[in-house]
Amino acid sequence: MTVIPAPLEVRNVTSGYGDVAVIRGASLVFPKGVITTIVGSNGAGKSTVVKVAAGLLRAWKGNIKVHGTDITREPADRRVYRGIAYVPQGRIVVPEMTVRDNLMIGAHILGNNPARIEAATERVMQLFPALKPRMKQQADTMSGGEQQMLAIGRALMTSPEIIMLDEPSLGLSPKFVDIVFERLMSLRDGGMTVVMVEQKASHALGISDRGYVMHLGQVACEGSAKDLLANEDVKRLFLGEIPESMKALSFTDA
Amino acid sequence: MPVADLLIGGILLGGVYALMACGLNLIFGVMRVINFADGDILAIAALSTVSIAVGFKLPFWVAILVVPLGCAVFGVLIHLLILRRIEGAPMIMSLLATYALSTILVNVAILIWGGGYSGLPGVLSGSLRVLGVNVSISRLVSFACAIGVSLAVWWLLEFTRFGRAVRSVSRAPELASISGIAIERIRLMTFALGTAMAGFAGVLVAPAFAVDPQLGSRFIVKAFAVIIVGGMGSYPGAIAAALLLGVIEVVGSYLAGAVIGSAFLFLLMLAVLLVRPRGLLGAGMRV
Repeated sequence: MTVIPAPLEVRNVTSGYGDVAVIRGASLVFPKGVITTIVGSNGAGKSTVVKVAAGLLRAWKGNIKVHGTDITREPADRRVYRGIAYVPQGRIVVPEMTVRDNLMIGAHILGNNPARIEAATERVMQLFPALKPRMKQQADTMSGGEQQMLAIGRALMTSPEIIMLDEPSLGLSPKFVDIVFERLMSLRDGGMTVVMVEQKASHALGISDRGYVMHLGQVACEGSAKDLLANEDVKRLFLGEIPESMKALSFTDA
Repeated sequence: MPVADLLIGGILLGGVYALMACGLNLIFGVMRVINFADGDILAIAALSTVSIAVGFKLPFWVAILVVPLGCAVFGVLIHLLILRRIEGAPMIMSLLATYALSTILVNVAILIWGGGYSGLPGVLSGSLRVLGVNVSISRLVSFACAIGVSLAVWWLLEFTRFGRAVRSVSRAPELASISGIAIERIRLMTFALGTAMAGFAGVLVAPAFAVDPQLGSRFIVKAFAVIIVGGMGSYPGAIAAALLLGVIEVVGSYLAGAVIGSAFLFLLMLAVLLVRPRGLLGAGMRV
């Protein structure tokens, strides 16, 4: 029996900023056509995991694999060609460019192929019809929710297989959070691998298939989103209490 | 006062400033490097053009092709050997590095060409009557080429895939990188393009002005003035300001002599800095 490797794997990765390690030996697997949400308290290393996977932070130890191929040494721009898209935290768009130009930055890897660019644009417009009448508008004149749609749209222009989003709901009104989450589910239904880092844990896990709970730079537990939501330890962790099992983990590690 | 004469003379002079300022603007926008050696690249390009036409007796168009290309290659070397190693360091590092490079280039040029003036009076000689004014063909051609190339580069930045990549690296390098744009390669190509523009400006200067190894320092301070008046990073601003400053310099020289004439240009720069520090068309910092 052959095992089909997952679209994206993070294996025993240690990384951080300066000489401070934020994640230590974290291993996460992101299966195809599944929404996986990484939750955990502030500073647990959730964002660091996706930054290392996107290639914006170097893995000090461990590997990043795409369909079993080791891409640990590849720079961020090469990983885009492997089908990895990343939506950074904070609705990152180029403020003084138009909506169209922002989307066209995402279309860079499609080359000068009008048919492919047209098709990618059409897909984004179907997902976020609100952007359509705003193509010529400058990005910074739009609301936060619309900018988040544009940021996700820019990432989708690369026609990715895997999309990773860092706190997509941050600072959005409940209406926009619902829109964004609903679109992520429809991307998942289309076969895309979705990875999300979320502070709003229960809401995000509610739309997810799988989840990881991170604590002090390590994976504290993992499982189906439903199980995690029902887990008493996890619930307590979200309320700010550290369960006994994880206290032990943090002390043995130090 | 021969108004038409001075206006045309000034605008023609401004064309070369525009080309140089656009190159500096481009490099600053994408790399946050103020290239002090840009003027000296222009001077060496002008002197090389004289050598190609007079020394090697080759036609002028050979210089038009070879010199900017040579400058682009030189730009690649500067980027790989110097600038890439100090990327991310405080701006003073690249400022000092390009200033040192500028000093080296001036002295190398003096070693090769000597300290005297040279020129290409034989190339593109003759004159045309424009609006009742006799205009030398060499200045007219150099103006047309300088503005043509400045506008072409502006078009490249605004309307092509490469230009969009350059602008995104300038405005949001991380976003560019996660969109599949190799930002190091874009920076390298931008720097090469910027030095090629200085080189092309040098080729255009050779038939129209007397050139010497110190020419660079005279041009670069004016190009900086152009950028400040036009607005850092603004392409249309740089072109408009270059023409304006060209006219002011020529009119000033007519009224007060060549030495004092240039001072008017810097007075305008000071006034702009006091009244509108971001320049006439500048929107903060952008390309």
